[in-house]
Amino acid sequence: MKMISDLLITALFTVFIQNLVLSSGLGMSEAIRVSTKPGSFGKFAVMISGFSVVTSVICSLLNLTGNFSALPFAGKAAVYGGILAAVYIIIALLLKLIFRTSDKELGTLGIAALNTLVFAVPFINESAAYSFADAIGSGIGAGIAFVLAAALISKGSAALQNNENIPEAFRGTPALLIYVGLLSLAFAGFTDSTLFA
Amino acid sequence: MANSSRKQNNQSAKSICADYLIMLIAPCVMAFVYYGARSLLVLASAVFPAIITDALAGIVLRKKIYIRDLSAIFTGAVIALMMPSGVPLYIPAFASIFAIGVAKAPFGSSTKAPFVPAAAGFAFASVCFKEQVFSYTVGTRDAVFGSTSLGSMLMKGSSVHVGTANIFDIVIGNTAGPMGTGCILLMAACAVYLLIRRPKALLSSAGFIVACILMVVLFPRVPSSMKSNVIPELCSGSLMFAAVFLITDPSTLPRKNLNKIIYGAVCGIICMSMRHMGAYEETVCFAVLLTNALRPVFDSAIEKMPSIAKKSPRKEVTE
Amino acid sequence: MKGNLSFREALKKGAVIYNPVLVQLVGLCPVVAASTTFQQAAMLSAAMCIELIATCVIASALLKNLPRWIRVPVYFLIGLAFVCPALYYFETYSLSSMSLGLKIYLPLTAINSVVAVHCEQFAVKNSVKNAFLDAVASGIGVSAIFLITGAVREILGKATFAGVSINLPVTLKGMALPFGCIILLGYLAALLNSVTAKTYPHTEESEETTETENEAITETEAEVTVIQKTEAEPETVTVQATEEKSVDDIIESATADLDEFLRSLGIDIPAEEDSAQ
Repeated sequence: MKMISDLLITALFTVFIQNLVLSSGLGMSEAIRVSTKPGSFGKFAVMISGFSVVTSVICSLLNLTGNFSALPFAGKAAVYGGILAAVYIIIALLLKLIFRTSDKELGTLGIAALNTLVFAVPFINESAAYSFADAIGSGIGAGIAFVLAAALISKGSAALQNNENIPEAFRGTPALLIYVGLLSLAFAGFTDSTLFA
Repeated sequence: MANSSRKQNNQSAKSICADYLIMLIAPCVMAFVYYGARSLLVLASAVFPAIITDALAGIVLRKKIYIRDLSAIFTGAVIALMMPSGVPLYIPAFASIFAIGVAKAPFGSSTKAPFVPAAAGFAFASVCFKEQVFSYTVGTRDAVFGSTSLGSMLMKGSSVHVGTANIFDIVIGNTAGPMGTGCILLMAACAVYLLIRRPKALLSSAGFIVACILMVVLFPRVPSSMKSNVIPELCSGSLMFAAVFLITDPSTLPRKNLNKIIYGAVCGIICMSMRHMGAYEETVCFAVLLTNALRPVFDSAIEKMPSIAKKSPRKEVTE
Repeated sequence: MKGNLSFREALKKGAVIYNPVLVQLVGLCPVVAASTTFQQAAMLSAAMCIELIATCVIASALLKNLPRWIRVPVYFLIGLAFVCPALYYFETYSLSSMSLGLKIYLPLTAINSVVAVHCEQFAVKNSVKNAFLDAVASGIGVSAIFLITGAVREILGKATFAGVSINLPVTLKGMALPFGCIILLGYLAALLNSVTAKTYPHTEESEETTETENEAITETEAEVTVIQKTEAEPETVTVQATEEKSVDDIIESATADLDEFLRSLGIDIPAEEDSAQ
């Protein structure tokens, strides 16, 4: 029971209080890019959560072993990266061989798996000393935080496109960036600290 | 055709803005009565930078300068009224410059800004100058609790005893707090004016206040009686002021009545959860910003719901 | 595809017109989250440049025949292979006071979308030399943004520059938070927009541009330019109108860039243009 509540609290923390995308900037390029495709939000939520959970579970299991936790930081980073790449390649290979997934869909899988957000989750777990349940929670939260950010940006950019009053210099990416910046300011109301400070 | 409708929009935007400025006179006078000449200084240090930034943005971006566009004055005045009277004068100036330069100018006009500029400006000031914006030690009203504001008492979890002796002082804003937002009776008067001029907009305020009360009843911050939770919570900070002036902002308010209520309610829920978990004493501006961004999301969600969609056309007619 | 890209051309395109951060919106994460001081920004930008150049050259030389879905993790692993030893070196031999943020964001640069975009979009379709030039140019583009944001954020947020304190009466703490950086980037992007609109108006550059586009940049882009050119040719309108148009064109082709990238990574955009090459 405690495990489930820990999991939920960490997930909520990751989505709202320290929204990984909007108040920490992780995976922001991907979120902006995915925001142009509202149809794919569900897919991305599932894939990012999945990859984050698997990676962070493996990493936190590894961290329990004495040999690993004694490694210098650079070594840990390399191992985390290796695990993420391996997880992606194994899953992609399985999908390719069993379900005959097209290369195009595997490319989408690549965006979901290999981005700063998913790769950052093991580091967050370590720096916040998260337990096993917390690690699962933060993995699930990462996916939801990503899709929340993508949905907010998507609606905002649609409104910006319909706004013919925007000055010439700010058309396109500048207005979008400022919109995202104000969104990030709104999330700053939940917390006044940065992620790794 | 499009041109004439735009002109009409500009006209109505201007008259709405004038209405808000008329309503703002009341808290300005109140601030002057409570805090004297200092309040005028704070007001000026917010309003003039706002106007200047607006004009500069007009020149740099080669657009027409709308000196008669009153929204910059409104934004500056709202920011000033949410500040404590003893605030260093550069803070309201920075907040105004941010509000106009970041939340308004890049998006064209105030009617098209996706976020309420005044909320963005105050949120920026709270992040950058947290200590000064929420310190009420200089020249404060201290009839009831000394220089401790209701908000900071609630934040620390110390209970506020509300009884017949002090309830009147609390309601007329005779406590430490922002200089123009404390008097709940005055806010109610402004709401009545708004009820005459733009009755539909008050739906969002109603949704907001009801949601806030519900959140306080469900999750009280202080282990005390219901009355000692609800009244200080509503009277603290700029909550009621925001309910009248920020949430009813015409450019960010949804069109349908049901959506207006939900907009206000979402804002209330976010505001109260931020008060619970957040880092700041007054969170309503952050809540307004977040609700501005969430609005299109729940608007489209409501449209997809068939049962509600059936009801809403009928309401649209009444609008 | 065969011709050579001059360094000047590459610089103009990679660093200015299609600036990775401001126009293509890739690589936002390290800039937004970690460029809080000038020193940190300089270190991260150096790391990113090295990774970008190394990965693009390797991709162009060796990885052209691999399927796309294997190439992307390979870029990541190459990046890690460069970053982790550097991180180890910094950790053990110098700079013992490395902040936790820098320690974490340094490996995060390995997975950056700048690398993936430039490799997928350009390097694997071009010669090693062109890939190298493109990587250098976009590296310069990214570094410039890194250094500007790092300097501005440190000066405004902490009243110091590269660790030396500056006498400023007021500091804006918000600049150290991500939102300050994103808003700053928005303003920089607006500045870049107006500068490119003035410096590279379409009529002056169109011939040259089309040439290089045909030679070097991807097919879709070339198509966009051809369309632009046919539109631009009959025009004898006022200068102002041309300027306005060129801004739109630049934005348009930047979006075409992104579309191409999305397509290459498999996000579903109607892909007819691909077959038309």
